[in-house]
Amino acid sequence: MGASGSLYRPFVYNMADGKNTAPAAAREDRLELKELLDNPGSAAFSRLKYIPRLGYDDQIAEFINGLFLAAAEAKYEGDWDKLSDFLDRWEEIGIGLQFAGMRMPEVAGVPWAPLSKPLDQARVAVVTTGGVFLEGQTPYTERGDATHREIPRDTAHDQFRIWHPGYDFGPALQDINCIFPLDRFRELEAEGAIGELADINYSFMGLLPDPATLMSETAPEVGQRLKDAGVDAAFLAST
Amino acid sequence: MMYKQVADALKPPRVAYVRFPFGQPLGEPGNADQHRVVIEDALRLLTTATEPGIVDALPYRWRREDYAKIRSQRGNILASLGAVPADD
Repeated sequence: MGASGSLYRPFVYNMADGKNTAPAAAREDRLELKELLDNPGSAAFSRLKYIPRLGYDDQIAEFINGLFLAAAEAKYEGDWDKLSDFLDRWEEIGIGLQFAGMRMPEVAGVPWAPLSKPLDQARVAVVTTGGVFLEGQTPYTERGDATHREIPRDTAHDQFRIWHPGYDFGPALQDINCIFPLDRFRELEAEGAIGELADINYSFMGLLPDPATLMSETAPEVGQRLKDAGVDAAFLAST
Repeated sequence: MMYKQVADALKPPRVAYVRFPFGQPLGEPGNADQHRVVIEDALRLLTTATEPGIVDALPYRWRREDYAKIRSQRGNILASLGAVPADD
């Protein structure tokens, strides 16, 4: 990052006389190619946030040049889907690079439990990894916290709190259904599409560099509680 | 889920994968139709999947969809499935 602390350096162009006057900051320090990726990297909500994983100048140049060309083509053709499609592709590249650096736990086999009754008779619980807790409950404060919180089905909207260092939870604070759709499942219950929404639903905070405790203790414990409560299916929303 | 790579690697029993911004897996604040489209697709997967490890990549392109229209056009997809389990 340059001395100014911001990448935004206004390009001063005088439309009247056509002169190009460089801003002062540009004369003092030069922008590194990698710094061009600081802005997408700071956007916690965006699927582009892993773009700074591009490690080489030629990759960065390909992204920036491609971004320009896709934007120009989209504008020329009046087809903004082209720009969205370009960004979609690079999101996947960035996520792929991020994933390559993640340590995946060993999982033996894939658990399988077919739904044992018609959906319109099934009891369904909602689970999130979004770091949801309630006013009065112990907050989440640290990454690696594998504990869970119980969330009653009829919790009032103003009781929800969120802490999670891995995503922007502003939208979910506006409407908890973005990550924990109790309202939607109550609607499905009222319409008869599901049998019922469980009385107690669960939240975890999903940023766990080491998932060992989750896998050996807290997830099996919540699984058992759901089973004991007669829950037939869990809808898990990750963030 | 938000990461297809993680879903492919960990193989949860059934995954509906969305390419939505992080922190908004069901959709935008206040867009109940969007939430419902995603949930109904996930519940459809719950009732139709016959083997574990299925990753269903949902086709929705964030704001470039009219979710109310999708819902009205396809009707009650859970009812049309009979909402019965695909396997015992």
